[in-house]
Amino acid sequence: MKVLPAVALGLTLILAPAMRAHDLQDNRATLVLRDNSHVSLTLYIAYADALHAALAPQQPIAEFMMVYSAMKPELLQKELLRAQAKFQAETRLYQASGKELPLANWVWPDAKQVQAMLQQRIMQAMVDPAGHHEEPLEIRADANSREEITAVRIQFPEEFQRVLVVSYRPNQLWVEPKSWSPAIRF
Amino acid sequence: MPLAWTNPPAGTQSFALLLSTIPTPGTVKYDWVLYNIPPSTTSLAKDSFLVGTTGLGDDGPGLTYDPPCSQGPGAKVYTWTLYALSGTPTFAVPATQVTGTIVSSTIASLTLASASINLSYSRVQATAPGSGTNCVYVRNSTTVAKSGTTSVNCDGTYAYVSSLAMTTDQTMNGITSTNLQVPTTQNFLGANGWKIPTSPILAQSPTSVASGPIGVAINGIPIFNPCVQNGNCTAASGDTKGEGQLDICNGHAGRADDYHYHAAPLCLMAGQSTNYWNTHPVGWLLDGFGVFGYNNADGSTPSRDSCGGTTISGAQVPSGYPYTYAYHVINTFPYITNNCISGVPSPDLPNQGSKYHPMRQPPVTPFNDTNMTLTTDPTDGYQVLQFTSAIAFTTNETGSDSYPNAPGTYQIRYKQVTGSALTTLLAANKNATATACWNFQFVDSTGKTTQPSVSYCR
Repeated sequence: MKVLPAVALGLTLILAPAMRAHDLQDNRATLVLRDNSHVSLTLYIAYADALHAALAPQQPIAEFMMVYSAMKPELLQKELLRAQAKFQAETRLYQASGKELPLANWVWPDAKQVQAMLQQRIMQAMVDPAGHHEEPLEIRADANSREEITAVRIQFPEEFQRVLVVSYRPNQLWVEPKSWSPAIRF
Repeated sequence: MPLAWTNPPAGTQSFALLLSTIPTPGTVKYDWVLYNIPPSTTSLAKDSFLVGTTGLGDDGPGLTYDPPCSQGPGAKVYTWTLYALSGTPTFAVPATQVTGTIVSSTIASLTLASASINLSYSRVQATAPGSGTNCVYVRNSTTVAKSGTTSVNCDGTYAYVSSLAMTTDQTMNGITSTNLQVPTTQNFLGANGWKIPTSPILAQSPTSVASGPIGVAINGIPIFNPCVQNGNCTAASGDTKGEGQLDICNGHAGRADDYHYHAAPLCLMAGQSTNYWNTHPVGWLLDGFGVFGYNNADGSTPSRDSCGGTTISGAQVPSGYPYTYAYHVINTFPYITNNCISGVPSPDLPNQGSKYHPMRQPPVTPFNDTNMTLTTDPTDGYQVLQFTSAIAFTTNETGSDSYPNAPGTYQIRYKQVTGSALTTLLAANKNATATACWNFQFVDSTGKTTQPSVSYCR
């Protein structure tokens, strides 16, 4: 096996997240309150970085990416479950009263999606370092309350780093057949 | 070079800064007006912004503190005067109308102390890049914008179009698909302004602009290609406008909350007659050529080449426009350019992501990993990135579970694809703008490939 002299002493592998304007890898959460009692949470985070921080923080991220991108999907799924359990436990939602709103119905990207993302990122780093593009992975959960929700506070796992939270409360009403709705105000 | 100061008088509650010149005896021109500077401030870095409140300079509202850079010939004396104030000034006019003269008179009763420095600067006409014909044309083109604030400086190679990427138009109205973003300011200021080549030349072959910013409108709002973030769109798939993602101005805020246009900036153009834009640019693409209205200057229909640009001549050339190539807007896909630009692009095209506000940028993790080597396998020509793990990654787990990431040697093997296999890959729609592909194999610590090969094209 011939060793390439330029790189034999140490490979510089830059695993930069996607950075085109449409692809900015903001760690982002969207909170939507519906019917005064239901909060849905949608998360877009730098998932590879979060997994690295949760599963193998002692290892350089390049080594983490290499191992996990090559891992058998069924084994990766096992690892993901461990990380997800941590992320779920440390994503906490509280009402203004201080009462916790348990988040449920978590939907996480599956191992196949995660591994494709890891592979995409490492392939880009190797042959296309200027061409970052990374499909965001979506995480969802929701919470219900018997009490009217007027305000919430949220905390994320440390592995998510800083998260930009967008929150809103949509206006909803039913419009009956052949009837005009009331004025819909914005 | 930053502007710095020390030893403010006791009781200083805020600072104000005025940068002025005396163009003719008896007159004062305010180049830079800044007030409400926090009392803890001791310096203003080059290109600093959002420190204090900017007022209205005599050449328009300045957006950032910039060292003096005379755009014209002749000697000029610039005077910076910093005022330490006993309070924060209040004005009888809206913030957008606070001129240097108003600040100067209003703060007179609040001034505890002041300090000034003068800088004399002269430049001969021949070496003044800011007074070059092409630079002046770009700068003047931005002055007609009624819905945004820009400033333009030149360095002889580029016109730097500075802005906060905010418009006074009613943005985000009319979007029919989901968009939860809120336009926020971006720091396209000073050296981070959009670099528009002032000596544009047509490239030997077009440059793909599959996604991201491709230019800037004269109101300082970036212009993107028509596509959603995956790029490589067609009228049938991935067209932002077709998918209802654009507001009534043909813009929207992206995931960085960065407002930008994907098609003709209709609200900006509404400030003038439709024909006006046939002779005045609505924006500039990153190859240095202007974007005009729907028609050539003489009213004829642009021929539009494969990138959407047009070689113009004679009466087709807008008066004063220094070039014979231009882009035009249309109301149908691809609206401005067809996923490519014809001229040699400025460095801002490949570096587009780095221009966005640092707050929005994710942590970048460059590193040197001496545990990895890259070699070539002589048996099949594959390059082999190899990493040997002496320990299991997860050492904090106990019990009967076996470690999935056991110690061992991991490899990523890859090789460039050629011949008919390459042709097949490039024929796929998702690789429409790619020119090269690689096959990747992922090998785990047992020496086995864990899944089928994966192709990557760029």
